[in-house]
Parts: sequence; C-alpha cells; structure tokens
Amino acid sequence: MPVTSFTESSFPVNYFSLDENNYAVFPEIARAVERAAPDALDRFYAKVQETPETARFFSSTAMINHAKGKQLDHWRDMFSSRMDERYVAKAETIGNVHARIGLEPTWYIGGYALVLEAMIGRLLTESLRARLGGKQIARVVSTLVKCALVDMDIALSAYFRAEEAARVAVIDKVGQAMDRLAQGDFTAELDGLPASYAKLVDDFNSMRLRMRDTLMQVSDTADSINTGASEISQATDDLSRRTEQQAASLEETAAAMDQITQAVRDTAQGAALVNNSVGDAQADANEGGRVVREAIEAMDGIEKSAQEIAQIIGVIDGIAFQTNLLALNAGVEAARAGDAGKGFAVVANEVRALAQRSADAAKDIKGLIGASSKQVESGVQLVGQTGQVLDRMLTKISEIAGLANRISTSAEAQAASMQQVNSAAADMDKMTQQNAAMVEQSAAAARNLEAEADQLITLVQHFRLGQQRIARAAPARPAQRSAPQPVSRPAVAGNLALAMDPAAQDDWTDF
Amino acid sequence: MTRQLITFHVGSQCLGVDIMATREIRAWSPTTPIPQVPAFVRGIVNLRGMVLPVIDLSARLGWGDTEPGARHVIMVLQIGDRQYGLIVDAVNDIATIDGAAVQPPPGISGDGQDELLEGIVSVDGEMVLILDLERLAHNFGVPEEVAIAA
Repeated sequence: MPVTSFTESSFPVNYFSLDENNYAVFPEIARAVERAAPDALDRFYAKVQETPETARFFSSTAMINHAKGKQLDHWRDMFSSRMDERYVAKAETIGNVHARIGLEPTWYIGGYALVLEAMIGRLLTESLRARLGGKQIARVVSTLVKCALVDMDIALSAYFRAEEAARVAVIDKVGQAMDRLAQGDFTAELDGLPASYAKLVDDFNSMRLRMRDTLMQVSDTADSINTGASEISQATDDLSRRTEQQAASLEETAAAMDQITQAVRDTAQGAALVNNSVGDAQADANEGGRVVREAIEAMDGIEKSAQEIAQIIGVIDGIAFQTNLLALNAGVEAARAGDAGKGFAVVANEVRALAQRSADAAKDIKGLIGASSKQVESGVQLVGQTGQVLDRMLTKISEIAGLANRISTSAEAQAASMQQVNSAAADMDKMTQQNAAMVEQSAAAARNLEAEADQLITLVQHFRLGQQRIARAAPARPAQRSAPQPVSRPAVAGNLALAMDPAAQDDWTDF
Repeated sequence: MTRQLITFHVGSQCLGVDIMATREIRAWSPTTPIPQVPAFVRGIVNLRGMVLPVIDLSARLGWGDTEPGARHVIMVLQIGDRQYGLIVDAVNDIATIDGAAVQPPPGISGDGQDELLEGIVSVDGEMVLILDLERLAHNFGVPEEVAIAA
C-alpha cells in the first residue's frame, strides 16, 4: 500500500493548523490517554464483541487484546511527539488495513467516539486544570479533538484511496477479461479479485463458460449440420443417379409397352380376321350341310327309283317265269304230238331259251339294282356321316368363332389396359423428371447448407474455447459433445478468509 | 328207245317225271285247305273248272314242308285216271334220255320208301330221280267225292 508523499501545502496536519499551543498540551493529553484510553478501549471492544457486524473480525480474545494493544499504542504514539510524516504514514497504514479487511469507517469512527468521550470526560472531571477551569482545559480538549480529527482524516483518506485503488484494480481485471472475451478468447479467467467480488467472479466465469459451452455446441451443431449436409448431398447424388436410372428404365418400359400394345392390337386384328374367316367357314359349312341334305334326298330318290326298277324287273322276271312255263307247256304239248310236234317243240324251246335269257337278264339287273341299292345305302350312310361331321364342324366352328370373338374382345380390352399402362408410364416419366429437378434443387440446397455450415465452423474457430475442438472436423466424425471442462472456481470460504491472513494480523494496529 | 322227262327241283335235288304224265305246268296259286287229309295234301285248287288236290311233294318225299310262294310251280300230272297238282320249287327242262341209261333205285329202304322212285338217271352230269307216280299217289287218300264235286 503506497505511502503518500506530501508537499508542504498538502501535508494534512498543516491543514488543521496544529501549532505550538497544541503541541504544548500533548503531554497532558498523553497522560489522559494513559488514564482513560485503556478503560474506554475495554468498553469499546466489549461493544465490538457484542455487535455481530464487528465481532466477525475477531476469532479469539487474543486477537482482541492484540488489536486493543495496538490501538492503545497508536493513541500513545499520537501524542508522544509532533505529528510528522512518520506519524502520518502510520495513520495511513491503519486506513489501508481497514480498507484491506473491509472494515467500514462507521465502526472506526464509532470507536474513536467512545475513546474521545471517555478521555474528554476524564479530562474535564479529573484534571487538576479542570478544576482550575477555563482556558487551559479548553485548549487541551480542543487539541485532543483536533488531533483525533487529524488522525481520522488521515486514516479515512488512506482508507478511501485504498478502496478506490482496489476498485480500479478490479475494474482493470474485469476490463482485461472482457477484452479477452471480446477478442474471442473464452479461456480468459477472472481471478485475483478480492473476496467481496467473488459473486462477480462467479457470474463472469459462469457467463464465460455458458458462452463457451454455447459456442462449443454451436461448433458441434455446425459439425453435425456439415456432416448431415454432406450426407444429404451424397444421398441426393445417389438419388439423382437412381432417378436417372429410373427415368431410363421408364423410357424402356414405355417403349416395351408400346411394342406390346402394338402386338396386342395386331392380335386383336388377327382375332377379328379369324372371326371373319370362321364366319365364312361357318357359312360354307352350313352350305355343305345343305348340300349333304340335298345329296341325302337325291340318294333317297335314287333308292326309290331303284326300288321301282326292281319292281319293274320283278314284273319282267314274272313275265319271263310265266313265258318259261308257257314254253314248257308248249314243249309238253309238242312232245305229246309226237313227230308232228317236233317243229313246234323247237319253237317252244327257242321261246324257253328267250324266257330264260329274259329271266337271267332280269336276275342280273336285280343283282345290279341290289348292288346299286346297297351302294346308295352306303352312300346315304356316308353322306349322313358327312352331315354329322359337318354338324360337328359347325359346332366346333361356332366354338372357334366364340373363342376368336373372346380373343378379339380381350385383346381389345388388353389394348385399352395397355393404353392406360402407357399413360401411367408417361405420368411416371413426367414425375420422375420432376423428381430429378427436385433432386437437383435438393443437391444445390445441401451444398449451400454445407457451405453455410463451413462458414459457421470458420466463424466459431475464431474463438478460443480452451479445447482443440474447433478444428474442421472430418464429416464422419462422431459428434463429441464433451462436458464443459471443470472450472477452477476461486475457493472462497467466506469474507474473512483474507482477514485471517497472519500479515493482516501483524498489520492490524487499531481502529 | 328214248323217252322224255320233265326235270324239276325240290330243294336242291333234281327230280323227273315222264313228260307224257304231265298235263300242265303252272305257277303257284293259293290252295283251299281241306279237312281230314294227310299233312302233305296242301288243299285243292280250281284249274279251269276242274278241282284237283295239290300235294306238297317235298313233304310227301319226307324232305320237310314247303312254304309255297309265287315262284313255286304246280305241276299237274295225270296219275291213273286222276290228276294231281305237285308243288315243286322250280321246273328245269324237258330232257330226252335213253331208257337204258335209267338205273333202278338202290332198294335199301326197309319200309319201301325208295319204291317211290322208278329209277335214277344222269342228265348233263346231274343225278335225276325219276318218280314212280303210281306208287307216289297210292296213299294220297283224297276222297273221291271231292274230285266229283269239283
């Protein structure tokens, strides 16, 4: 604590106009000190111990006695000689000590008030001069008060200077720490402040750590965003490639569908042609059936004619039979006639021969007619079978016609369905192209996002966060969300920690 | 000495009668059955005002009954003083044969059935059984009054 150097005019004692008259009564005041101060100090320190705000400065009776002794020494010292620079320095030390331990002036002034009260009382009541009265005692008391005031002024001035210096030091440290923060250095700790600023230190450090954590989180998040954006970018590239493949496949599908549709149309046309041909075949088969029926009728006519011929042949045969009998009878008659009938017998024989030939011819014709009849019968049967075959063919042709019709119908339905599939494929193609455009936009957005995340990382890298975590991370780096580093807080046990300093104890003189 | 036969068929067998016994050859016409006669008598027919019995020759020969039709022939024969109609299947021919060529029947039948044959002769390589008409007709048993009434 600096000891103030004084000029003549700034020396505080001079300001109080302490003159030889004053110094002349110092021995008397010193005697009053010896008589009154110890009691007054006893009462004062008893009061100090009763009062919690002051009692906390002392942990033992020894400390109180020590302080009491120091103060008594100071009072003695004050009036032992002239108030020179040595004295001023000592008074200033008292103020500085008070400032250091945080003892407020109220208590100090209160202590002086008690001592003065006791000493003035003692001087007025017990002094010889008091009884002599008058001017002399007034000078003693006024000198005592003046000196006490001088002493207080010096100590308080030192106290306030020390206080201000401490405040300025705190402000400087806080300013430096703030400056480092402003520079982006979040490792800057605020320490070395008096215990009374512990709250400020705590708040500052927690603010710093919170900001550091936040920035770390920002950094992590930026990393994550970067990673995500890069993944999105990659996925978008994949998607783009697949979408292109899809588009190509769709194109091929559409082409194949066109071909299939054409084939199905051809099938439908073929089926329609088959249907027409089958219709013609059906007409032909119907015509064939009609022809077969006519043939059967014609055969029936032939059969009837043959039967009629057979009947006629029967008649002819009967005539031949009868003629034969007649000729035989003629022959018999000729034989009866003997030689006269010989010529007649020859004629009869000729007639018989003719009848026989007629019968033979009739028999042949009958046989032929029979054969013809059988053949006609067989022909009728065959034609009947032909008719049946034609009927069956008609049935089959009808079935074929139905089938061809169904083929035609279903081929047309298929063609319609194919058309729908075609338009669906076209729609899919359009959508795929739109997808491709969107994928392109997504890729661009992902790249932008990646760039922004990079920029964010670069920005955060400007901060010193006390950990090597802001380096540009690899995209695949797992997000390491490490806990904030443990902060070494200043160990503040209480406001009295500094007061317990042994040096402070040594420097402690008095109030 | 030659003689003339009318040859005819009953079943597959060729038979023959002397042409002089033949009165007429005519087609089958339905007969009127008469009672109380042997089974081979089919009935009677009216031949131009003359009623004559018709004999089923096949049945008479013991070869089974004939079912006569339009193509069957009735041979009207003069046997003794009577005329009979014999149903045959078909008349063949008028054959002239040598009388010496006629061979007697084999005579193996104990009850004299084969006596219905006069002899056997071969005509154009075919065996012709010549009927003995007198014997054939001896048991025709047709009542006399029928013929008279006809």
